[in-house]
Amino acid sequence: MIIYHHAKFIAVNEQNDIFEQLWIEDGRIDYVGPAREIPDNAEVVDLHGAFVTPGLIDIHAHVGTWAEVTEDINDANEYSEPFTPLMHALDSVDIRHFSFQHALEGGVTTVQTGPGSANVIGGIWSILKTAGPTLSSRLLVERSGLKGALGENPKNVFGNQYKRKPMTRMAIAQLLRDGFQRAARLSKEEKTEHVKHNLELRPFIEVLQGEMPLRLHCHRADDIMTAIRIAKEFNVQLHLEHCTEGHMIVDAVKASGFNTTIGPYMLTPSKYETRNSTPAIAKIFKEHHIPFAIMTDHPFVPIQYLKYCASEAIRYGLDEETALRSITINAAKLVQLDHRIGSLEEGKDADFVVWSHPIFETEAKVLQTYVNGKKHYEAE
Amino acid sequence: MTRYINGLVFNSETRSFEKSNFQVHGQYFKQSNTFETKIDLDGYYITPGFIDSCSQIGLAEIGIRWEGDDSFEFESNIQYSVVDGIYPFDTAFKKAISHGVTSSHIVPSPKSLIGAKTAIIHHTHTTVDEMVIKQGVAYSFSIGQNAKSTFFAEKKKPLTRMGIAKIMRETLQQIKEQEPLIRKIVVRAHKAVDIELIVRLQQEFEFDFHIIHGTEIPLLEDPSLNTVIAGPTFRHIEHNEMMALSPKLYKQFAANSIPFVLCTDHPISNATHLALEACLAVREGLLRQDMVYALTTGAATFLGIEHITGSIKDGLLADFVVWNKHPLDLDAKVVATFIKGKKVYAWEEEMTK
Repeated sequence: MIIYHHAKFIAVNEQNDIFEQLWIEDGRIDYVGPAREIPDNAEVVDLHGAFVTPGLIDIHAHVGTWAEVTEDINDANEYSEPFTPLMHALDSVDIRHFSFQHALEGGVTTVQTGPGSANVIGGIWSILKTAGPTLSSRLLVERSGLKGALGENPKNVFGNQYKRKPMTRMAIAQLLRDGFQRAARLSKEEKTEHVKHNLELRPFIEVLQGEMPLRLHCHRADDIMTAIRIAKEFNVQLHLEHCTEGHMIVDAVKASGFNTTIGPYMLTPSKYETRNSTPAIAKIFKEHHIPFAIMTDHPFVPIQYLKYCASEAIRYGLDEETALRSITINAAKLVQLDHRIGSLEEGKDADFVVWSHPIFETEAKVLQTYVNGKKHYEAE
Repeated sequence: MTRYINGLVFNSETRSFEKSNFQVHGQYFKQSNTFETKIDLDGYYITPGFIDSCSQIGLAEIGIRWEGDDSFEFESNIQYSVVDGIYPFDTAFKKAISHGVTSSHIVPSPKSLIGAKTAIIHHTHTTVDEMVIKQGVAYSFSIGQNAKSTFFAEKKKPLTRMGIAKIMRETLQQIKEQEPLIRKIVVRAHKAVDIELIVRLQQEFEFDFHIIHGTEIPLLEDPSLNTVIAGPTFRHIEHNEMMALSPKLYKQFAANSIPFVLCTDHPISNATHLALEACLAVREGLLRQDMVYALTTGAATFLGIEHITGSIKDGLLADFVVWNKHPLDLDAKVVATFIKGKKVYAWEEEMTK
């Protein structure tokens, strides 16, 4: 038993409690609440008046898979085909990549990572802790979604650079539909065979059967609507990734009932489809009760700055509580992991961050980051 | 003539916010006994307009690609001036003023070994001639990985640091002969080995050399350097030379008494994140007051326009920003921005108060 005290523990639970003690046993939270008598056999850690939040969660990043420094060995996009459903994050993530260390430095303990947005169908994403000795020990969800992309990126790579299909949004939509149509036509036995043998249509079958969502990169209003239209056609669960112009069609996004991950609005718009990007989207989605998490899209905004993405949303009118939730418990809920991560509550994984000041203050520095009860980062 | 009263005004002499009044007459701050309007700024923080010490705003337009990018020319020429490439309707200007950044020092792309004559411009949205505060401020260069990779791709000189040094020396000689009025040379450099070249050139040529970025400066022993244009640190690590990039750099500069000003190198980081760079420096232990100074009077002094703008002082252009909180609070918002006495941005909700 390890007991942490002399800190403000911001639980990010339903009641927004601030507690006085955190008890950890076997990598899990055993107790968090008002100060209790400390048992004789406990190890006690004095946090000297610090502020503690749950470990931060970024559910849209390319940590460990984007080569970053040497673009020619990038493992995030399989550029050879626009349709690559069998690509899997686990086969490209390098757990020794410096982006994991940067994540810990910024207090990020969980990331959803995987293929990028060059392809119409990119592949499967996974959800990982940012620390742990092996890839399998970090794994929370092996197959967390089928990632695809609409709009400029596939148009640019295939149409513009390779002079092949898809050159237009029409062809992009057709490529997407194709996988679902073919998967839907299979008999029950064929579906089982496909899943068993990991054949090309397996991810589409899993999405059709509700085992994982479709995650579509969409910036422009027309791409968001195409994503929603296709998801409704096949009655599948969709997660809107980026959703950059979502504030311009906010009623349609709301009516779709789908969840969103917003960002990376901290980036200077580098292409036409992101020119209407604004941090105000967070406040607008909040007002319309559209569920959202805030992302970095690392490396585009470096993962260690996830907190600053939430801060910027506050500058544009979002309340502090929702801002913190959008990088902790709300992010966990959107990936159905809120029973394990996202808040400081009994029974959950002991992922937490020790800050020098309240998280959204300018002076706030990460002093320590814990994953599964183990300290994996400490400031010099 | 307008009198602004009761604001918490940044005093560049004491580097503190003090409750005081100031007046604006036409384009200038000017004290007078008569005034037509009085505006109460009770509770608001007032700073001089923030100055981005290295930016490509207007030169590399946001939201579009090559069509709006005039930041790099493959064949260099010392006669190039950035003024000829600035598009006043780059939407980035409006975003910059909504975040309190009223002027920028425009330096062309890191891809160019020999860049161009730089200029300082206001972010007012009219013609470039009206925007210019000062032309021919400096000559810009870019050395190391960026310059090398540009030329490697085309199999032209310079392919090595030796080649870069040779071309720099020849060009500096040309500048000395042909442009005797320009004394400043600004050089984009990350690696220690490139910074050492600048230290050598400083001894060989009678120019004031200033390093932009300077990521590996802390690796040098006893670096006696002129003011560094530091940042941006809020950006991803793009190549090997930037592996050490971190806001810790600001603290290391301060610890080694290396003077620095801040930049976003927009669009590398966004011009709207200039205050955020200062916030990161504060996080690393620097004083808020010194960082506000570096963003305003410090930057103006470095760029040689302190007699034109950069402080709230009689006789200077009335470039100032009204903030709802201390400008280095992460959630501080700009209530209004003034350039040359004219309100160019107002946060609608707040101004109806």
